[in-house]
Amino acid sequence: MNQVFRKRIVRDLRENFPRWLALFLMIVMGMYIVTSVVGAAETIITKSRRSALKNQVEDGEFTTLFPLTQEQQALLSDAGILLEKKFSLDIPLEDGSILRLMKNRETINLIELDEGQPAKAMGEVVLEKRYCEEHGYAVGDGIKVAGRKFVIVGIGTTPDYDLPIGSFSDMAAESALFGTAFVTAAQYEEIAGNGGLRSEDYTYAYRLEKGKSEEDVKRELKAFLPEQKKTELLTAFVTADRNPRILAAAGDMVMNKEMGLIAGVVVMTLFAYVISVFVIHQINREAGVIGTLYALGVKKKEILTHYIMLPALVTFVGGVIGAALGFSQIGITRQMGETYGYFSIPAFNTLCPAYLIVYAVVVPPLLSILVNFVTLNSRLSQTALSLMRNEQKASGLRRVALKSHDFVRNFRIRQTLRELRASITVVLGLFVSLLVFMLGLNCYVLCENVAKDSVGSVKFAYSYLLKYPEEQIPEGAQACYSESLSKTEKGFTLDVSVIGIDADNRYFEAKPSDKENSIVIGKSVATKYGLKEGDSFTLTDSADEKDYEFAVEGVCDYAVGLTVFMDIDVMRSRFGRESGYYNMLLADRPLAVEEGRLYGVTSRTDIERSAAVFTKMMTPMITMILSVSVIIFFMVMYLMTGVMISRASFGISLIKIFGFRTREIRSLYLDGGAVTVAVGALVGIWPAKRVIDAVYPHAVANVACGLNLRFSWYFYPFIFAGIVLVYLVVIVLQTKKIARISPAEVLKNRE
Amino acid sequence: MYLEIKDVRKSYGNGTSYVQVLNGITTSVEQGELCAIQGTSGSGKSTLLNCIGGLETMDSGSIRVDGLELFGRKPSVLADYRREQLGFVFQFYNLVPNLTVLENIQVCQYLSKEPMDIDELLEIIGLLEHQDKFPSQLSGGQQQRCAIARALVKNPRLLLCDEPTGALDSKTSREILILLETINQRYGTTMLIVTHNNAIKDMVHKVLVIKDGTVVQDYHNEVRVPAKELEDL
Repeated sequence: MNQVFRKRIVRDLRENFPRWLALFLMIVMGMYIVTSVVGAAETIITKSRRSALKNQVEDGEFTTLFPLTQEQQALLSDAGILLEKKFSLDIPLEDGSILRLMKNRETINLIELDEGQPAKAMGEVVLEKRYCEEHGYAVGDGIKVAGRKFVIVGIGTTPDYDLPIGSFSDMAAESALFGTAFVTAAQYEEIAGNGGLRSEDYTYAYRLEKGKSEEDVKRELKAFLPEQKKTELLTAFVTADRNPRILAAAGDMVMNKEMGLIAGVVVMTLFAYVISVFVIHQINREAGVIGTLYALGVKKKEILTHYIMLPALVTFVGGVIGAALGFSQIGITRQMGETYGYFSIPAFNTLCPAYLIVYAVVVPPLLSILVNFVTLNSRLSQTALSLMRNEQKASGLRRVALKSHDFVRNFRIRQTLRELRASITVVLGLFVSLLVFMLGLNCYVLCENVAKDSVGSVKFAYSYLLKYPEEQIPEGAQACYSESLSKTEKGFTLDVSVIGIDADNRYFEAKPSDKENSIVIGKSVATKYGLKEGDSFTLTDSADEKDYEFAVEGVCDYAVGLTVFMDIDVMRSRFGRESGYYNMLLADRPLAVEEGRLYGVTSRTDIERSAAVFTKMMTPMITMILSVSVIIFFMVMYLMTGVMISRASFGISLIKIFGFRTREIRSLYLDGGAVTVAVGALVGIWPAKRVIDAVYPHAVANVACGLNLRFSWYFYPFIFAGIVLVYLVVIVLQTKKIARISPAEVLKNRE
Repeated sequence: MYLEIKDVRKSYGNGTSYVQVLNGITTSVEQGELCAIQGTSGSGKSTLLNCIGGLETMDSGSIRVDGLELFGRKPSVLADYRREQLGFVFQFYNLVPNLTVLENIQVCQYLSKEPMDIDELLEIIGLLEHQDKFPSQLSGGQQQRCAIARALVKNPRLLLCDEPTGALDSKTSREILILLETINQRYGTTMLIVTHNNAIKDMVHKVLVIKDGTVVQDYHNEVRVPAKELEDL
């Protein structure tokens, strides 16, 4: 490029410094958010996969009602299936939390210690890190478990509890209420042997030799589990890829990564377009100069390169600085903090993936070059003469005949049509902001609705899940039959509880008929999978390799996890249970059930607390998303109205000479913009909500909760009012700009 | 003959808006001549200049500049022709506002393989001491001088001036004309000057008067009046 033009770039930058600075900061902010979100996602995905491999993560696990015999274990081992017991005892602690006690791992799902050492002696325990964080435990502290005093000798994680949930059907991890603990084999046997605790869980983790598959494991199990009792004896079979606890953080981050990269391109394109509006404005101002330079032999390519250079430089430097901040301690590391605060994963070193560096450094200038090239090319393709005459293609819209004789109204319409490009940018910016806003709002609405719907639909005070039910149903309790099946959608497998209930069940609104395969679905299932009455719904029993196809006969008001209801007798018959079988008790008061018979107890208070976890967990992200949307909207609005005023400065100065006051000028030049914004908001709010509603199920595909994204009607006028309010703030700021325009100065510049 | 124009026709629009602007112009200009093109508004003088400069295409006819035929040439060839052979000066100076005088001239310096010496040029146009000023710090005459210098720095063989004094007062107009005359004498640059100003016809070698797209007068001055002695500018 012509050397002299380079000097001009610096001067252009200096002359319009506030405007370039604002755009630069927006790009820095955009790239900072993208690199920190995507970088954190990439770090978590890559490093947790590496960590899982290093720690010999299981290929799957199965749970049996009774422990396998030595001989059965040997058969599996001979078949190339490496087994490790991960038997566990759920031990309630005095603070109300549950600690799942297990033996030290030897070959599969090894413990990765963040600090300390493994438990080597009686009285020593290693605790899962999230549980320690929630309870303020450190290495060397004491803890009382099952009536025994332990010293915490290590704090760490295991790859099979990446998401530390007690049950596969839990909606969210609550480390204040649940954690894992590891002791020596001898210690474990000593506690398990003494009784008085909840029933022991007999889960085996397995790893497959090369060439072996999940089918081989099932075939071997079938061989020694009697067919008619298989369902009863093999209570769970989950492969690692369907296990919501394994690589859960990585799974959660996949969407962040994709959304981050796409959002980056959308926002950068918007700002590239905003920049191009400025450049077009500058070209219009300098059309005479450009035409003269053309006449003197300067070529279009050189002029185009010159005008593209500054935006490309600003976006490039913005991208580099944004990426540098993103990769720093205040970027990826801080972003990963949210993941560390929820998932149980080792502390990872930040990863700086090459593609992300290239993305941050290349995408902003590339988009800027592309958008500017497209928008400037046609303008600069004009002949030297037409540029010198500053001829602009007058669209039919600009020449539209206005029937009204209201001067002010006509003026505003003409001004809006004259500034069509800026007006379109405003509407585009508004829509992008609305998309971002709706993303944050949906996040909030979902959390609130999950909490409200869950709590509102629970009528029982206590729910007991039994491993060994008594023949006699305790007095005051209602017996149900619960099975856990699964549903795989959008790449994620989630547990769906099937609950068999009597016609007179007082705790659920559902009244399933006695038709075979008919179910009433909870509203969380209905919203999650988009089901309604008359649809069919297929669930899988992965232990049994069986698919169950159900006909939805209704939707009931129940939103705790993902639950469907059947008639209890039909269900018993469908799942091969004897008449009168039950494994779940519901009651209004605590029941005196022996601990040894229990899998677990859930109280309404637990559900209320669990429901609130979502909102608490998501609040920082919601705040960030909503703030970013407002900032984008404000900036686009401010910059575009700025360019409108700048373009109209000659006219403004002229009508100032005529005697118009600042307020009247503002009304003429900016109130048309208010109409554009108002119409844009009216037209854009609903589609933005629809778009995000369509995208949102993918974002929470790994969360076992309903998808009630509906919010009250009054949100819409509030959003509209918010948009208008932001525009009013912009108008107030721009009115000062109008007031600063000096008539004499502008007229002089015109010459 | 350096510039040969034969039966050049040019029209705009169609139907009711059809206008025949040039209606068979034929003339020629020798190398190193100063030629004034005169006529009333709408006579077609600027259009002729633009056709010679390759800024507009003609409907028919021929324009040859130093042997190069312009009719039917692609825009890229015309751009190269302007780059290598032409200098343009317009009524409005169209200087790049945030470049200094020196830098505005340098913009075009790189277009030529053998550019003029800028210091010498600055001295001739009388802007040596103003070379670091921006256009907004200059008077109209100074800005036009700068525009002339910008056109000349490429060392063009043909300088096309469209109303170069149109926006200037008589004193400054005279200064500009003296400058153009000096350049013509010093460098032998052929110049075509489109002007309304009747007085200018006395300082040039050749005068072309156009009316309604046709040449009504085409003559050489036997005696030229130096620019500094022109009256009624």
